[in-house]
Amino acid sequence: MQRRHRTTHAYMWKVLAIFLPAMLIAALAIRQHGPTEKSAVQIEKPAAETEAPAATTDE
Amino acid sequence: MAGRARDPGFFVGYLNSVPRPLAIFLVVGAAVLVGGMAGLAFALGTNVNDPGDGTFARKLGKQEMSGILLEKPYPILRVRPDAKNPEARTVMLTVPGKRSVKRRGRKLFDQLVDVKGFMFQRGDIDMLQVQGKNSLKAVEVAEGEAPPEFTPAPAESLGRWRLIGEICDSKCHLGAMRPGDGLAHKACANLCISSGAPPIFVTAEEGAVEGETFLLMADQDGGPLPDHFGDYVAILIQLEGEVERLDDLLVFKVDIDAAKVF
Amino acid sequence: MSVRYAPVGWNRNKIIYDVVVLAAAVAYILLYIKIAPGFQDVTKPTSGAILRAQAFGTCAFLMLTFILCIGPLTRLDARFLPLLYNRRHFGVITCAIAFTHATHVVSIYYSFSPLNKYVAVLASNTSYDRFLGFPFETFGIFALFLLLVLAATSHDFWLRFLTPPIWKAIHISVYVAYAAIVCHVALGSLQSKQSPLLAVIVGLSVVMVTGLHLVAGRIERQKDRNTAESAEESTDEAPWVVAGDVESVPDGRGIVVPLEDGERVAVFRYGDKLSALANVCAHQNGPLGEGRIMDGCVTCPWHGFHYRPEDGCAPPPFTEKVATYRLKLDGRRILLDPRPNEPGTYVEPVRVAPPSVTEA
Repeated sequence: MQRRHRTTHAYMWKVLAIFLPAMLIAALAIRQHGPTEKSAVQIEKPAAETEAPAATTDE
Repeated sequence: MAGRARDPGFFVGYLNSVPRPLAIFLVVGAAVLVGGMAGLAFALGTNVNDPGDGTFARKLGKQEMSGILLEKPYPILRVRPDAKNPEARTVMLTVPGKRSVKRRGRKLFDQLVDVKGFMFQRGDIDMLQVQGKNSLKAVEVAEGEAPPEFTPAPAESLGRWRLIGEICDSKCHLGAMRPGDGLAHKACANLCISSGAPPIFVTAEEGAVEGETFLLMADQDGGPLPDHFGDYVAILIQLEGEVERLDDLLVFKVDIDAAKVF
Repeated sequence: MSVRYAPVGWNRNKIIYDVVVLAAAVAYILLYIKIAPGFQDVTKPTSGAILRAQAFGTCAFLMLTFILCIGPLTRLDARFLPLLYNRRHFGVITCAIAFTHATHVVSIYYSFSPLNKYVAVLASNTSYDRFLGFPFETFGIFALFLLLVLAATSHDFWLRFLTPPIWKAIHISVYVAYAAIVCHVALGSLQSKQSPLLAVIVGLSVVMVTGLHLVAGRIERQKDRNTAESAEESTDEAPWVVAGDVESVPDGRGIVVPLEDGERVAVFRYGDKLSALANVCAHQNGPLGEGRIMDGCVTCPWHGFHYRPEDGCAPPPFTEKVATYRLKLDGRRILLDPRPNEPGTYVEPVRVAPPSVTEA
């Protein structure tokens, strides 16, 4: 019984030693760093202005 | 069995005497624990996000305004200019708690109403929290007088835009909570929006449309966002849609399912 | 120790222990919510309720980190053993702090809506199909549930009622709770924080807790591999194994002898006598062989439970019993019969020459 307890401990920590760092690395990998330098893009001018070329960048 | 050469002593919890070398070790350990926790508290407590300048502006006092109450996409007031505020403006509306103006305003939509309440303010965007008795009612007309006329300016289209930002609930973001954005706040934002707080699209300064970093959100037809909006709240996304100007408020009409997650 | 149950059997050491733990927690929370805001670089201060939720949440995480380090540290250095003595109080305090964190979160994020606040906790975010925006609260709720179960069953009454093996099996789930909290933080707060500090602290916690457990586990495994060899000249029916030399057992102490089947036996020397007991304390499976002889009894290093070395029985009025083993001497070699006797069976101690002066 004593060994079973030790084995369970050892097994759990082997699993956690892989899972926990993997979880942290994955979490850091998905962390969003805003592409704040990207400007807003006007795809289409308002209908009233007509025939304006598409995909004009605003500023 | 290691360290037998220098025996620190044997600790038995219920015996009050602790061998001296062990006692010294434990006192040092306790100091490290308390000091370490204090240090970590200071480090973590000072390294918080800047939650911005959103605030519940109670100190401005109770505000009164009148205008046309609109239901869609979310309850807003097209404020009628008056002597004090000669500029036409559009204000998002909320009520105390995570609730919608819709219930109180259900018989008043598209009518000229008088509204009272307190402001939430962040930057140059604000929102009125309708609060108090008789704080939302149809404009009263004295007998014999003609009902006041007010026709808000029509919505001005600014074209289709591709914007990068985060969907937030207006109320928390404008100051009900600081911080009122980010993933830790996602469930709250979802609950606020589904309970009736107008969702706003918040962009960085660089990604603003005509200098506005806050846009009220709507679906493509100008109605509220579909029920599954929650998957896209509180994360950085790219959306495309028509931007309309209602006085000083921009409305971003999007197909939320076309959102691109970064 | 075991005849009757008081809510908490207080003694001076437990009080000191609790005072230190509470001092650490109170210092942490007060600094976080009262002092640190004065040094924040913010346009307007963080909402008080959110600050408190952050303070209690991070405090509980850090305290759980310390708690989980105690076990392996005691395997590496016996001086940490006193930290184990009252670890359950540490755990209960941590659970209370985690609970306070949860109540703050529920009362700010999930209240004031038409929905019941507890329903709102589960219904507000249902993005279970994605990593970014996953309802990380679920991990927190799960961890809190485990911590509450552990705190509720932490008393010796439950240890007795459930028996140590079952109690231990339940309480090993604290590792699952820790893993759930790491997920809770990684998918929640860590995603929102602009400062990398929290990520660094969580990373260090994971490295420390995991590393210590792996190292301690390795040491234990090596001990288990180093099993007692059988004594070739077994003349009678018993499969005698060599436990060690008489000189390897200091007076008043024991040695731990790992057996082939994974059990461990504690061989004690007290004056001119040698006795052998199972190494596992009947209370919480503490390692008896690392204990001492006090007042003529083997004393567990964890909670000080007593056993008479010759029959493995706790002295009256206590009722715990552990298995005993037969010993015999072959010159200066101690031979051990690896077959355990029924717990509480009297075995005549083996007589040796009194310890030499140099050993004391």
